[in-house]
Amino acid sequence: MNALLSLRLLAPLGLLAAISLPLIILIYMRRQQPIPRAIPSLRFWNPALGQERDRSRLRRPPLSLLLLLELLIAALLTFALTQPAAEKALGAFGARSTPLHQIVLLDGSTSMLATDGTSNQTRFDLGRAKAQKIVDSWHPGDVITIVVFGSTTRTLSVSDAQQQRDVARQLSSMPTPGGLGGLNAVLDLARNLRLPDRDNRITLITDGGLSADPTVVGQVGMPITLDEVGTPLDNLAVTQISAQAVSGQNDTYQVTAGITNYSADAVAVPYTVLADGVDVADQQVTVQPGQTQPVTLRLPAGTSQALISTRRLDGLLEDNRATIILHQDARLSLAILLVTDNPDKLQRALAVLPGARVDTVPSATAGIKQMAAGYDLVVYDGVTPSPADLPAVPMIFVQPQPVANLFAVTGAMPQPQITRVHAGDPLLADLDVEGLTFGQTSAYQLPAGATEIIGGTSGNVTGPLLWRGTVNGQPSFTIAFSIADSNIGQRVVFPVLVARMVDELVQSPLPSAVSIGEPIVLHPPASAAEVRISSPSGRNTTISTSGENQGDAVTFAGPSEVGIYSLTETRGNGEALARGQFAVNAGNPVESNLQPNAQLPALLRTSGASATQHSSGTTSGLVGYWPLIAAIALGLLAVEWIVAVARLPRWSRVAPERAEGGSP
Amino acid sequence: MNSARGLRARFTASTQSVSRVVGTFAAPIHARQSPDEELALFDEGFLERIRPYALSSRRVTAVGVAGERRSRRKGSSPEFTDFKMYTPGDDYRRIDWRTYARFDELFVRESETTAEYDVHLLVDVSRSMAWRGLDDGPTKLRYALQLTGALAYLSLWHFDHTSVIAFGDGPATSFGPVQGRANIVPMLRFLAGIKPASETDVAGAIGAYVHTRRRPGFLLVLSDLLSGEPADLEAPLREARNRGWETTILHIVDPVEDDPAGLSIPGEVLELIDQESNARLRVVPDGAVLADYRQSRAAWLDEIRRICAHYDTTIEPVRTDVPLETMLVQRMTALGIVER
Repeated sequence: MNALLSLRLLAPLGLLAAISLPLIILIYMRRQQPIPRAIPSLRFWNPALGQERDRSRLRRPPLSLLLLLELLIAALLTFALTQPAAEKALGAFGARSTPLHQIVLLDGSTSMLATDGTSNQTRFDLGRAKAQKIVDSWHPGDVITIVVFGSTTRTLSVSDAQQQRDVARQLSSMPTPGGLGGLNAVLDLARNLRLPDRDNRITLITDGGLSADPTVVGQVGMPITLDEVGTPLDNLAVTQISAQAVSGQNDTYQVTAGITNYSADAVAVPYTVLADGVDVADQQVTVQPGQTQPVTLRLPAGTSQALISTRRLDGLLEDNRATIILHQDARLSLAILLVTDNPDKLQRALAVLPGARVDTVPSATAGIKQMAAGYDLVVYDGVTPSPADLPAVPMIFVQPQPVANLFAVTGAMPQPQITRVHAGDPLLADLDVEGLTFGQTSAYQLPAGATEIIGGTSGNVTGPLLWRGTVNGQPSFTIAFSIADSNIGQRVVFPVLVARMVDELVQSPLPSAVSIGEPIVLHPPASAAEVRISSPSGRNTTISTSGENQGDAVTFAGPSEVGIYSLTETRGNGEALARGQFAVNAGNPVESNLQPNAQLPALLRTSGASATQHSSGTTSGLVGYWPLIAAIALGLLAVEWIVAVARLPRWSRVAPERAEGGSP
Repeated sequence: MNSARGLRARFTASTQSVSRVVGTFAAPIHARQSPDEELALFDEGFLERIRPYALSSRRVTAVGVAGERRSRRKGSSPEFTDFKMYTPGDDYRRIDWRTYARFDELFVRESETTAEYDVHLLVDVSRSMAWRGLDDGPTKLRYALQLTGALAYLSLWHFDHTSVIAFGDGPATSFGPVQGRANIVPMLRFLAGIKPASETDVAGAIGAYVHTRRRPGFLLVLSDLLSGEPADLEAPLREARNRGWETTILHIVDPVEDDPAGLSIPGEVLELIDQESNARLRVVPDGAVLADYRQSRAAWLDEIRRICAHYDTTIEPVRTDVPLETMLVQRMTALGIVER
């Protein structure tokens, strides 16, 4: 009885079929035309009895077995169409269970790229097959949530048959996300995915190389079943790579890589270094177990990219090499609009910036706001537009004119001296501003929210000489003094300062090397319509930057291949604005360790609920009864047919004219 | 008996003709066929199986000398049966002189003589007979013609005088009287050519036939008796009895006539159409109507049976759902109409 009371109708719209019940009754109520029957004689039929007296179109429905059977069949089929299901089985039908919410956490970190044994399948392939099996075992009423996590997280959900097919298809074609497997974050996500009134369970499919905060695990409140794939493997990996320019030689770099030994024995590791594809080193280094051995090499001048690789077969081949981009083949676009009536030192300092294109226009030029939309940076030298004419791009103001609500002048500093330096500001790092002289300079009132970087004093008047702020919602720097009247133009600090200001205002586009799965934030110029990224295998990803996204940062989520990615920024007409490259490496101090975390099983058992071991990766939820009901209905239909045929008169229905021997 | 053997030999060819005719129309007796196709009344095997049987009469005296019936009369045929003491008036040519030599007394040889029946088969061919209640069953007319053919076959095979009369609304059509196996094929063709008439008068037909026959015989009437009233049968049956006829009525009944419950699906409105008069009656054949039908029919049958019993007339229901061979071999034998 309890099972009956817990019946749920998964498709309540099926109740619409109940309209067949009154229709059947109506059909039976319809008075039929009399059926002619030839008989040998009317002698024994009493005309006084059985006469059809009521000639109305409808009659009282006859209470016949056929009618009752048909009503019962229609009612059962209607009930079956609603897909009734119960949490508990009726009698011996089905298995007893409650609606299940199965959360499958599928580890997609870099270590899952390892290949075990003789199988050509990676650990991620094996884990994906297990997740696929769980998806295949979905029952009506259950919910399955698949969370594939690496540096990026992807969530798939199954709550109906269509989604079951879709998720199965997506799983089969999903690449390994790569990157770090953040178990804390994904357990926190799983906790938020918990559904009320369901048996929430977590299955963690991983190679076991994860670790988690016990506090986070304890807050999950759901049983966690650990389903491990793969076997412990020894591994050697290039886990670090970096480069720095050799002092005094801007085009010469020294590359440093770290080779880590994840085995129990010391290993002599032969390695090679390629500079732009040319073998420049072939050496060997001994790495103690569990240690990282740094190797350093000066690269030939002008090297644009370096690759270091170890020559040793191990569990994860992808992390046996690492690449770093030292020089981009071409600088990504940097369009600067300089509004000045005296282009001199400032123009030269901007023009030498790598990849920069500087367009100089006089201050009287009309439509600067509209013109500025196509630039990455606008520099106003001695000119200040009204607030309504300010462009929506980063700006640098030099000796701005007083403008209400923008630049307020409180006095004048005839020959200001630097009296305040914000030494910790990255803009001034390693720069010497001592000895700088300035001409007549206005004493500006520091705008609200702005940060003074350099301040000066002249007599009793003090004011900022350089500050960082926000104008028209855009980041900006303001230089209060005249460059022409200052000696800064002759000092080396000036181009560095300008370059750093530009770098800060216009984000550096690409990193030199990233780990696999690590998202890359791009800052395409406002003039770019899209960014196209090609993976080492040639797979293209296009990110649109036009429309509402114009000028915003965009994120390339999860480079999943090891190697060199190329990037192209293009205008709306397809013209390439700039090209760049970035290297993706698999080596990671955590992910390259292919040994499982021995504490993980015990840790997961503290998940705040009794961790019932889940059987063979399947789910069991509501028990559907519509097939049983439909079968009963079909059985009754057969009975109804037999009854109908049995009750059909075998009496000849032919009219007398057609009976044997009837008149022709 | 020699004459009988001679006849048998003479008509061997004619039996082969029967085979040909029947074989041409060979078809299962109860197979559902269109009226035009229902010419074949029997299959050949059926006739062979019933051949050992012969018509039998309790009261009718065999007459003539050509039949196979053993006569109570003693004759001079070669078939010896007994001796008797010579008495004056006996044919002295039949004195057995060898017996006289042994016993010194005169004995006369007695021999067996054979005779034949006068068999009259009256078939009702009214339209009410051309009806069947079950789609897979024969019409009453077809069944009656089959039964008539079988009985006539036995009659002719055993050299009885045989007459077949089909009576309907007009003048009766008849075949015979004939005797001998050479008439089997013509008899079957006659039956196959019979078409149903519209109405009929069973009592009138019996009366007219009995009245016009000079010599009484064995009268078999095959009819559904649905014409006229039961009382109409009194006069013809009385005359037949008084004139020495042995009358048997084979009452052809369709099973649906006995129980019309399967006439329709409950609640179905029927328009019943009288096969003969074309009169119509719209009814809902519910339980009360069917009970009244059965009661009325039972009373009608009781009245007919009473009249038949009163005038020494055998009446036997013949249901069309009983296989013809079963009807002939078992039922007719039990009734004494047929013997082996």
